[in-house]
Amino acid sequence: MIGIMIVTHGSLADEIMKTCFKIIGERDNVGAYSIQWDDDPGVATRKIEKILRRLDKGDGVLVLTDMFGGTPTNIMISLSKKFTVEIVTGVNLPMLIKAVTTMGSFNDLSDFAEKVKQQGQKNIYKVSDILSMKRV
Amino acid sequence: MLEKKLKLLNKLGLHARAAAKLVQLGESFKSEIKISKDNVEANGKSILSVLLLAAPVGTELIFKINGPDEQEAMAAIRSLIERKFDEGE
Repeated sequence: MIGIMIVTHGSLADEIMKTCFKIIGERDNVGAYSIQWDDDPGVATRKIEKILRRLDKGDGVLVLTDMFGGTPTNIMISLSKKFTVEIVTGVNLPMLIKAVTTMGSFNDLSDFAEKVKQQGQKNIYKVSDILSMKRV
Repeated sequence: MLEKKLKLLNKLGLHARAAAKLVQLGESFKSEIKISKDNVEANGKSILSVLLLAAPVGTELIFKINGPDEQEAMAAIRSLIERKFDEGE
């Protein structure tokens, strides 16, 4: 079983996880860590490690971060030497819902990360395009 | 293959939580479930696909269900919609 962890700045990670659970119901093997603005990166890293250890059941953990180049992503890159993780940046709600509802059907972490990345990108729409498509 | 037109009766239409309930119900059946509105067809077992239908209250959705348990699936979906997704309005 692959685990999923969300790591972001501010409170986004916890809030997006709660929102996802509100829609599809609570799930196991999903965790979040929000790095607050004045948190010490060393302390944050240790707390994230603790959650990763809980979520890794042997097949690794897909980590969804907010933005490439930001502290959450950088901390995860440093931890990727120690843990089996794939990191996908730019977490959004459709991406998370897709990840959480399909995590059970993947064994390969890299394949799963690729699929989740594609779904996250695919599910961004310019609404007027969708509405005009429907009117045709 | 069964085909039935069902009208959404709950106040918020096919919003995120309602779509999740519909998809979770659909997943419990083996049959393939397609839902269509206007020119858009959604996979009834994918929440993101179902949400693309953008269906408010009063919308008539066409359900096409195909498979070994299509009768039960259609009955269960019809019941969920008639119960207004158990949203207690």
